[in-house]
Amino acid sequence: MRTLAPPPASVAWGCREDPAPLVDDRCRLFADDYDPLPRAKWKPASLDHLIWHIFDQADGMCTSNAGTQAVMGCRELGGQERRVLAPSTLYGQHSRWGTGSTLSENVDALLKTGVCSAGFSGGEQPWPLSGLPKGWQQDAARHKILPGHVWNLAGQFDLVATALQMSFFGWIGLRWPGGGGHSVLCSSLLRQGNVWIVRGPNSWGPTWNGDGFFELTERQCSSMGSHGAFAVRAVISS
Amino acid sequence: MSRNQRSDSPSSVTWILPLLVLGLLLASRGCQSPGPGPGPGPKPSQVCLLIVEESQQRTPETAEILVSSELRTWLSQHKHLLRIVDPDAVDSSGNPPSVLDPYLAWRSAEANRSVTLPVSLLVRSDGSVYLGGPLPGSAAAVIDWVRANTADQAEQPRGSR
Repeated sequence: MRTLAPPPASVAWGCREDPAPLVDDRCRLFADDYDPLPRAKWKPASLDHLIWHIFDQADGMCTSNAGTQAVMGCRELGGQERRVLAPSTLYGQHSRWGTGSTLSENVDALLKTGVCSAGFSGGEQPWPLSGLPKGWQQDAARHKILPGHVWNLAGQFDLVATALQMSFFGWIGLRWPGGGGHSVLCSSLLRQGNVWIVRGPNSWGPTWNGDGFFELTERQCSSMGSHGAFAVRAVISS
Repeated sequence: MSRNQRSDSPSSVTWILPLLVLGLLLASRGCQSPGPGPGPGPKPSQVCLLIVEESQQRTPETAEILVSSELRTWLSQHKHLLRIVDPDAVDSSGNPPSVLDPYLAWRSAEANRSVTLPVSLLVRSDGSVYLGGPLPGSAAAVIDWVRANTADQAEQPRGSR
């Protein structure tokens, strides 16, 4: 099991607890549109083959890296041109260096502004935003989530599993045991015996744990505690 | 020129004008939005398989097709493109993206208005639709449908090119 483990010195930043998870007309509750699939009907599902790049995040930017990965995954699913995006240009819209961010802050920024391409911004993790070329907002606008095309999964494992079986990427936040948290994108639902496992690209480099992917059992997810979850289903065409 | 050969006689104009209009209408429909059958011309050798789906109403069965590795690999091996898009997709300007143009033209034909999503279209390189219809029920069926309606260069007899 290539599970996640907290950094050696547990820190208070990363994925922060979401005091007011985003729910509005741009981001509905998944449960309003779908019933969770009954477990008896669950089947393994994989979107792993749509992940073609793994980030090496900067401090505290896991949530923005996972959200950017979701945008890139949706582009790949839809057959759009492959384009490496720059997660720090998402993070810098709402948070300062080292503070971490919530899922809702990132979803909101991806709906309003988007995330720049690495080609435009001169790298995957440029910092700060004030150093970006003029007109970065126009570049970011090409990589937004379509309003109404993201769901709040209310942090429920059953809904993440259902979303994955519908071929929607699940974007989750988890609490480290010692404080702070981490966010990742889920691109697969696996089964080992009676145990259901989510898998996806971490943002700790392409060689972390061999291929850069984590795996977490349902029990591990619930024992860590949730900082929320969203499913992204479509992005701007560009 | 005798009177009988004159093309601008009142009786000729009466017949020719409607025929001309009808011909132009059919030509434009055939080019942009064929009905249930294939469009005019030979089977295209390379196409874009355009799938238009309402992702909010996606079913697990459709989901399996959309992400099928088998389908994506086969399309890539045969130099076909794949695009999957929502009917309400927009570009960064808020307008329908150009990738939707073939679908919107195809959809404008009377025969295609009642086809429910998801639909699959074979789009030629010039953006015209060769064939469209309901998305087949499995990835294998989609491959069969594309194979049957394209001139697969890899499967042509040797010496035919």
